[in-house]
Amino acid sequence: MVARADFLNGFADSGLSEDAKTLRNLLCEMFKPSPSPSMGLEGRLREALEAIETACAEASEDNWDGYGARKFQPDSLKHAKIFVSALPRVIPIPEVSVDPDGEFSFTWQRAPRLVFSVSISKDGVLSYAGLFGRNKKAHGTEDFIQTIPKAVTDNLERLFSAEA
Amino acid sequence: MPALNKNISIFQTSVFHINGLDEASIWVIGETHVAGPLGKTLYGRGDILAAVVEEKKLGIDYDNTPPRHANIIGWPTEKHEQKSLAQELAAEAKLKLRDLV
Repeated sequence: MVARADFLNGFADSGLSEDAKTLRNLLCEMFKPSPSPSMGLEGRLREALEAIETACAEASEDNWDGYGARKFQPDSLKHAKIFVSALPRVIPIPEVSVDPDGEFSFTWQRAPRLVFSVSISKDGVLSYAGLFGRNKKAHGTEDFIQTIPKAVTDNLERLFSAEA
Repeated sequence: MPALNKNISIFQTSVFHINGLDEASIWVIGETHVAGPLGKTLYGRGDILAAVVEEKKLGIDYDNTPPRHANIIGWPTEKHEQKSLAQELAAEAKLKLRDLV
């Protein structure tokens, strides 16, 4: 969809379909200036990195969950920081956690059946999964090389354009 | 998300079978076997019907070590498939918050 790609890249929108109009309205809401100056780009990134730091502290040792979970993987951490920095500005900061295998995980949840999550391996492989209603789901893997793959941005768009 | 049990090389999720227990007894299990050993505060739990787990083609291994303990087994090995199943289970689970007052 032209409107989505252009907005995410900061260019003018030219979509005319109903979907494009819906997405345009949604993105305009997200572009509204934040009441707090700290939530500009720097503030966003700081908040995201603080969330990563909190997750690191939680998973700083093996068996941090009492069930044999691995401590966070340093290379996954490296990719995680780049990942949050590369997220489109219109996307809210996700919840950050560490999986039992030590990979960092980012989750956006709007309702019990409206959720999207991405985990990042030490090799930069993204494993993602999303629920978009009762019988609508998506999951797969993508390589992460500095920019967010289309499969991830497509699913984030799907999550935030769905009716909660 | 499931964790890999390295001893037997399968992915599993630790749970407790709470059928027939009152609320107080359930929270005691959580304190005694989950939060307590980690020195953490127990704020809540997620309850899910065994039938929902089985509906998702997962199994339940009742090892009763400690009493009432079980593991959800039969997880796929691919991480993205595990995440997807975990989301489906979470969507069917009920969050119960503990009254800490």
